[in-house]
Amino acid sequence: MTTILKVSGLTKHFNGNRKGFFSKPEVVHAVDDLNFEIKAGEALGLVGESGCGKSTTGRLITRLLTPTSGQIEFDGNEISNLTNNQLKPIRTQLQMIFQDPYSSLNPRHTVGTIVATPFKIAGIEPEGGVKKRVQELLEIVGLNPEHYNRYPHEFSGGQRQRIGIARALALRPKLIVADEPVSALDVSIQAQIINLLKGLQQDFGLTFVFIAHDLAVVRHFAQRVAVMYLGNIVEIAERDTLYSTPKHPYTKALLSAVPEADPDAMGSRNRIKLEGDVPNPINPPSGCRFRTRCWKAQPICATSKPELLQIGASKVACHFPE
Amino acid sequence: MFKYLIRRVLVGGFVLAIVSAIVFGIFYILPADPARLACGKACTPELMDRIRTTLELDQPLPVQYGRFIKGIFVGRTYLPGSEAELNCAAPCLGYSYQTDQPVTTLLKDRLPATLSIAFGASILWLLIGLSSGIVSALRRGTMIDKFSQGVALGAASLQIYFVGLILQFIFVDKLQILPMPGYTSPFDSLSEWAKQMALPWITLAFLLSAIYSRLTRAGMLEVMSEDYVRTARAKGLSARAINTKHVLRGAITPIVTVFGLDLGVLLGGAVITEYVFNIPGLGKLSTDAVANVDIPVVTGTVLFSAFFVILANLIVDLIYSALDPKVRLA
Amino acid sequence: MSSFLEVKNLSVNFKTDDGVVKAVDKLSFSLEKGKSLGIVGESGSGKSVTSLAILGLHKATSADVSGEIYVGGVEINSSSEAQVRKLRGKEMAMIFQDSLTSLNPFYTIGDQISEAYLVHNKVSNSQAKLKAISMLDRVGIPEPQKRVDDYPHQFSGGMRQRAMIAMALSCNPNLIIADEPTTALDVTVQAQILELLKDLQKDFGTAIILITHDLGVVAEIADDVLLMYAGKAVEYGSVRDVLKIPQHPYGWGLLTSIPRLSSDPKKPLSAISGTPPSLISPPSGCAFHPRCPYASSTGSACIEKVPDLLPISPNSKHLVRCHMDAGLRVENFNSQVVPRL
Repeated sequence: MTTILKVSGLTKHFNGNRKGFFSKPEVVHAVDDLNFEIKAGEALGLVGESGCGKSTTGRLITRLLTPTSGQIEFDGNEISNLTNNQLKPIRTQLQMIFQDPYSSLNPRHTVGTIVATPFKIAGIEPEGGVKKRVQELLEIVGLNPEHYNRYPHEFSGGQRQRIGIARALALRPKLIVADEPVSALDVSIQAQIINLLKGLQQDFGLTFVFIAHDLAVVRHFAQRVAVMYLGNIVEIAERDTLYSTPKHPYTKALLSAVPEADPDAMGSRNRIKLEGDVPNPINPPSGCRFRTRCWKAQPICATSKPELLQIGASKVACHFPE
Repeated sequence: MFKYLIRRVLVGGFVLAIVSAIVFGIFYILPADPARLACGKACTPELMDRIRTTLELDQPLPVQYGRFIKGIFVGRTYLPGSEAELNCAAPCLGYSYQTDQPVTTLLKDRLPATLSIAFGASILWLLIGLSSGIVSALRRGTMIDKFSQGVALGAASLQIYFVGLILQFIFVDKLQILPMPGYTSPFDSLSEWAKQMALPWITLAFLLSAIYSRLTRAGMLEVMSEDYVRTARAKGLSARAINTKHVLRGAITPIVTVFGLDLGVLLGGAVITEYVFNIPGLGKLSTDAVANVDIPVVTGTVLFSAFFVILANLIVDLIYSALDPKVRLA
Repeated sequence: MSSFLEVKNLSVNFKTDDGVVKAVDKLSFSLEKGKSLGIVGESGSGKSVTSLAILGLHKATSADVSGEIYVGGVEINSSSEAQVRKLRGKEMAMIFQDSLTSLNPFYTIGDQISEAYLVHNKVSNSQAKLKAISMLDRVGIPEPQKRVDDYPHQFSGGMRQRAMIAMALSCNPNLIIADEPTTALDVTVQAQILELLKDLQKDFGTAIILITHDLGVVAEIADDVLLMYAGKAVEYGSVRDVLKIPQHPYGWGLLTSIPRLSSDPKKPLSAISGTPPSLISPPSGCAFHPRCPYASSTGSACIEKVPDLLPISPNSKHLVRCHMDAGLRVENFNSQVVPRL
């Protein structure tokens, strides 16, 4: 299997407020030194809580943001420093599905226009014409192709998300980044969309990056999962390995925190209680960023930043992995 | 915070400098010859030459500008060393072409009238505007709301000169309750001052309270639908406590901001009002000066009003940061 | 009345330009002091509207509220705004989902907690502030005497939610309604907040209504569960009953469609087909019938008649609103649902 995306040393810092007149602005360390690869046809899950940098990573991969440093290699091309014009042909291959089905569709455009826009922008005329292809896409995502001329507000949240997915599929991209595609949907609809995305991935051999904070959702979609904390990847492993034998303390804590819809499960499970809040990304802790909440922290955790190393079947960044 | 203030003051000074350069430059690009304008009716070529030399109009533009700026800070001496030596104390803004008076003196003389109009009218429009806006918002959809907003719309669509002249006709000519508008110093006669200012105040307040009424109403209605107002209700607060502590507090910030800016502009001269009622304020001074192409006076009034607007902006920024903790603590 | 809260045939209708929205339709339930009720439903189920009705917050609006709500013996719908206001914050308090927008950005956290206390207690401002500090401490906020002077935007999401809880508890109410209190929070913070709520309930003996769409949260904290769909209660019972032996096809659908850490990721999730119904023109008969795989098993009953909320067996406290024949229900549950859980 070929590697379709390779990320090395990817870093993104944002400038925050200035504290004083002459001092430099504060730096928000959104993402620091990310290294990972994705193979063609794979679904990689990216999980973490707020402030971990997963959304930023998604935007960096699709070049909605420019990296502060590091390399992004997509399909053999180095895209981290390309200008918008240079990115244009590549963008047809790199698409994104957004979280909010209400704000990611232009309310003044018909559904047909929305799904046809990628063709317009890329200047591509599909075989049989734009309209035919758009209707095909609507059908693929489970919508009625006759609704070509309707407006977004005439659809429910789940249906709008399907429109967003149809739009992302239009140009047959090689990689799709789905940023929290089901978080804003009702529970009874989430399953429909997850099934749809999974079906599409299998039918069309698409490569996915699936970003979510919900560990159970990611588990149903991804084959490999990366856990992020405060801008770093702390663990990457095959799905089953990660969920059954998590090696990083944060992964363990995260898994134990997920509430199960089973009143009997509570007693038997050892819930790990993490104290305090996620630290400020403006001043991340030195060394291992998780050490302030980690029950295993030792002096070395403050002085030395752990590398992402292969331990058994997982890659873990921890001085004292499980 | 302090650093923020310093930065704003420096920026303000910079803006003022740019304004002064632009104003200064514009008049010298005009086809009219300043020396001729200064000369007046009984003009002879010798007089014009003398004026040109006195006012240093034959110097290159940057030099003239430099002398002008220097005059503002330390004063200026025309024809130094000669028997016609003229000392213009700082801040020197030159001499009026029309009346030969020092511009600074003119500005000082006209300022009280403008201040009177501005402060009197502003208190009036705030009181009327805010209270009618609050009542409208609290009684939304009722006859009171529709009526007051209708009046507001009507008032806002009437021109100041129209309103002013109608009011003058009614109160001064017909009913004879009020004297002709003008300016008497409040230190000389408080009642005369108030009676003479009444019409300009009412005229200005008429228009502006309409605007503030709509602003307040819109602001309050928006805040009323905020989640934190729902929380306040859930805590069991009385309607009065909710409306003052939470709703009004949330709506007031943009109103204060706009008020500061409106006041700043007004301090530069309520041009139309002063013109309509013939009040000797800065507004009238500047319109007369423009009509007569009295360059030094125009330059002076423009700079003066720019100064007030910049000052008002600065104060508004400070008030805004005092009112909004998110800005203050950033 | 043994229960602190009794809701009887509550209906809430909203008049809109498109028609009348029947947000809540003849809802009845009760809650005793010291116990927790989880109200579960998705958007449009009527759960939030119900909570606002309990606090009497629909009184100033154009909503049409009928039925009876007894809070500590006082009937809310027939009481005046002034009478209900005395109860708000004191007998019953509410915690909202979005702590950032639900707190006033212009006042400190301390001011807002003090305010809640001062409404119902005649004490000085400094005494109210001390109370605020002690409440912040009780909910686990470090350095409360310093943080009491902070503004909401200076707190993190989890801290802010704790502050909201502190505010709600300040007058020691007998009932707390928490409307999706952890939905906007990270899962590790959610765990802390749920833990805190359980803890506080033990100490203060408060009744808690937890409104959520998350069955996992309900399993953690609720004693009883009320499942709502299209404004009606469709199932009610203890948390073990409703989550382990659910009776309503909607509940089956929810339980089998949510991704779990324990289910097989290779199998597709059994999704509930269709979309939530319109509340202006809801489906005839049982509102769930267009999405119910078993609707045809009762002939035309599901389409024609709204089922009643009935016990699953005589004297059972487990109620379900469904036409399905009892025997068929057990069969379907065992053959269709259990394998997918």
